[in-house]
Amino acid sequence: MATTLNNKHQEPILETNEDEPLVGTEIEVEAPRKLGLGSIVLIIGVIAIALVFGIALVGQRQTQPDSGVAPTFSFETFDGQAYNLTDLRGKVVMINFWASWCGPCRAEAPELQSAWEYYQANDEVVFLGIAYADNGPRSIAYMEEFGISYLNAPDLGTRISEAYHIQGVPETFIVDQDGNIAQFIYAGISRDRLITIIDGLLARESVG
Amino acid sequence: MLAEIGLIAALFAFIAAVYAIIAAVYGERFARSEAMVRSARNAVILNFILVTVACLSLEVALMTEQYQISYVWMVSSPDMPTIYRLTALWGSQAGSLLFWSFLMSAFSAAAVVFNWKSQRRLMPYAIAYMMATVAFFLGLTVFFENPFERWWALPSGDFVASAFIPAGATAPSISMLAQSANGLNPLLRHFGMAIHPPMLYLGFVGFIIPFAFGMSALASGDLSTNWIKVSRRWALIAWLFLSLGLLLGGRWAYDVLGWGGYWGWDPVENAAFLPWLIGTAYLHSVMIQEKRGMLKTWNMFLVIGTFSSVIFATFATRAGLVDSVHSFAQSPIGPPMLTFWLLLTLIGFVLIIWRRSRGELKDDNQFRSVFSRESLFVLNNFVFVALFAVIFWGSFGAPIISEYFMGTNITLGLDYFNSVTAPLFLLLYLLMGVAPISAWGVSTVARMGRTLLTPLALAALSVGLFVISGVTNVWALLGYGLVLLAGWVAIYETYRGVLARRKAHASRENVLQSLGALFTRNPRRYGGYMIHLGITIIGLGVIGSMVFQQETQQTLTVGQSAQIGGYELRYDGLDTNQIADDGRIMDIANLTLSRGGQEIAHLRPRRDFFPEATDMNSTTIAGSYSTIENDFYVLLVNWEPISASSATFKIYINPLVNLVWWGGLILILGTLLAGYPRETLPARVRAKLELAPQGQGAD
Repeated sequence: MATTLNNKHQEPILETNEDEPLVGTEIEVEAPRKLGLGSIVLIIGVIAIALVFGIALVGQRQTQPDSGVAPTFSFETFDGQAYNLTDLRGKVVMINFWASWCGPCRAEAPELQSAWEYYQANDEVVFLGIAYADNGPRSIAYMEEFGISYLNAPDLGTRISEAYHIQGVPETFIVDQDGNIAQFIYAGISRDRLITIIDGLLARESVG
Repeated sequence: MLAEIGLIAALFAFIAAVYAIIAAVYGERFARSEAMVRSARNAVILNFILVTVACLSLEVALMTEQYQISYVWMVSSPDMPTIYRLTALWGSQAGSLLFWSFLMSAFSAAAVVFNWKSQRRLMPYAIAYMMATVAFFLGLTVFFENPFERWWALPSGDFVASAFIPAGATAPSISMLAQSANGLNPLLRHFGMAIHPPMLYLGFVGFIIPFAFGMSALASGDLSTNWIKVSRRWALIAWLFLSLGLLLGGRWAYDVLGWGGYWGWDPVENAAFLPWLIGTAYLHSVMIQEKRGMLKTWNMFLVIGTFSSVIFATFATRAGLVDSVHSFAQSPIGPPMLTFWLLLTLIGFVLIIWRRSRGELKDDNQFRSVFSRESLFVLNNFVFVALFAVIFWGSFGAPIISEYFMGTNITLGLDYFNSVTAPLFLLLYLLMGVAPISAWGVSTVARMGRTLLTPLALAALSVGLFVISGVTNVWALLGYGLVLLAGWVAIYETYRGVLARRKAHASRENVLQSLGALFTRNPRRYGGYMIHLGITIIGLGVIGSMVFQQETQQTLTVGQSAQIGGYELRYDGLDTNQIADDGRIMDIANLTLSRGGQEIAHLRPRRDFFPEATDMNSTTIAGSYSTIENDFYVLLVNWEPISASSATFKIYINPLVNLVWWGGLILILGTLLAGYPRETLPARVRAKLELAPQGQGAD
């Protein structure tokens, strides 16, 4: 091997061409090895990793819906009432994902409750809180702390949050009277903004 | 204006990189034209100048508050201090990609300039691989994540960010933009964040040079030790920055993230750790190829694997595939980055397999003894690769496969990582203790045993000290023992070196001079020992802070105290709504820490709230009291209500945690010594060799 390399070093600089066999060496004598099992496994492995992550990338594209039919789900509230989202057709539904461990949710909670108090008497509007990845007693303590009086349900098995592809809390979806998503709100929301959106939907209905 | 300059410079830099690839490969392979290869070299330098211009124009835009540029609008706001304006260049995806390209281009230009003469044969293909990578990242900047997009007001009243002026659009008012500007992510407003990303990026991109030379060796067929020589030093430089970046990241997490630790096995931390593991394995096994001409194929896999995992880490971090404190927002660069990673890895591996099948990567020597240094190094490499595999599986394999293929969410947490990696790390420490005293070629247990005797005794003695100080946990003691053995071997070997020199030069040198001469004559070896010593000290800190961490959470009313680990912590009151220069609102708790009835410190943990930030708008800054023995670390708990009368605190005592930082410092010093370019031969020998053409030149 050493002789090979020395030979090569004496060649003019630009004449290294990999197609030319190396000069005067034991290497030439050896028969070229076949593609080994290890090599095949290695290459398949690399491609497999790329495939897995490629599929994951495509899957990840599924983000929070901001239009189209709202994924339906059934839920049972903390105080034991069972519903399906389809039961609420004809009403504007505000779905808010929250958690007791989430800081921004705390900032948002009084705003939501205050907006709810504005609509409480209105039969056309439903507020629904979904406690994401939370623990029951803590969720209830949180609701008591902020005096939350609208419907709230735990997201058992994170089925609902998966259907909506949420990426964190708080996230809010507003579903219109036809069961379509009218608005997706990524971060915390204020009472006034919420009322603007919902009043807009209510007005649209009464005009149409 | 700045946006145009930046955009055009980035575009032309991209073109220069593509030109360099074509000129280098065509000039070398087909035209055999020296002039063309030189032209490729000049294009590399031009590329560097142009990327610098692009980077500078974005930096100037940040400093001069050009909020019409959407990137500036996104990462800065009028009330931000200058330092964070400066560092906002890498505060978000688009800017950090440009910055990344800039560093990569800088490394490439440096390699081309410094190694032009010494590595002339490897240069053309090395240029091609370097510029292919740079072109790819510049392409991302220009076509996918452009930091020079500007805000435009459309006739419809909507606002869009675009690099070109949309039809009929006008520039929105600057004052309105300034008012709505986001400001830098609060978590990034920390001094550590000013230096952690650049260091980490330097570490990441630095591996492009060893990679390019390795690939060039494979492509050109010049598989002598040339590529090893040049790539080793560059790998060491990259490794230095990567280590520094990891350490600073740990420090930042410890100070800002408020979980009481410095390493959380977060997927993105792990992503940065993976190239470090492979890179470290490479830095070790490359010695075997230099000394014994063995492991040629393996080294190629390691050098390509290191850069491949750098690209993978960047992909995983930036495509937002895994949830992490570091997650960038979802971005369109996922698919191109994955494709690039696949191509780069496949081309590299296929080239290796091809050269190997032609018998060109045949080893010069065989393994002759299980206890020879080369065997132990191979074992060391196995452990590094095993660590790589389990960490990769835990951070990316299991979570991704479960989420996208099994419909459940499996997140492997601290338990998995700690229990799986701890034995492997301890095995590494054992090897770190044993391998340096084994001999190349043939080594016997008896000979090694004799040399090991003193370090073993010293390690046993130090473990005894831990026992006396009250440590009873057997596993911790075993851990301390193995870690200390590695450290004592490093010290003992250096001591033996000094002793040997003293024997030869006692009349002319004092002990310090001998030590200095040792480091000058053989910087790699003794720098290496110093790195081992640093790693030992880090190991002691990690074991101490992991195994013996104490924590408690308590709600205190004013005047009330909490007791933990011999400390007493009294709540003195709360300063609410303190407003800092940059607009953050702080709630600061005043605490008095006492020990043995004596007041030793006033601690002020706080919660910062950033009213103008959209995403993460609060941070929890710990108050801490550090001694060599431990850190007393208090957090104002975020999710419990706080008031002037009562507040909830999370209290940690982290024993020996400061050793992690001190060990890190020693590691950095050792790396600087090991990599310091200096002739290792005495002057008279060098003079004789002056005529030989095979000098190491400026590498």
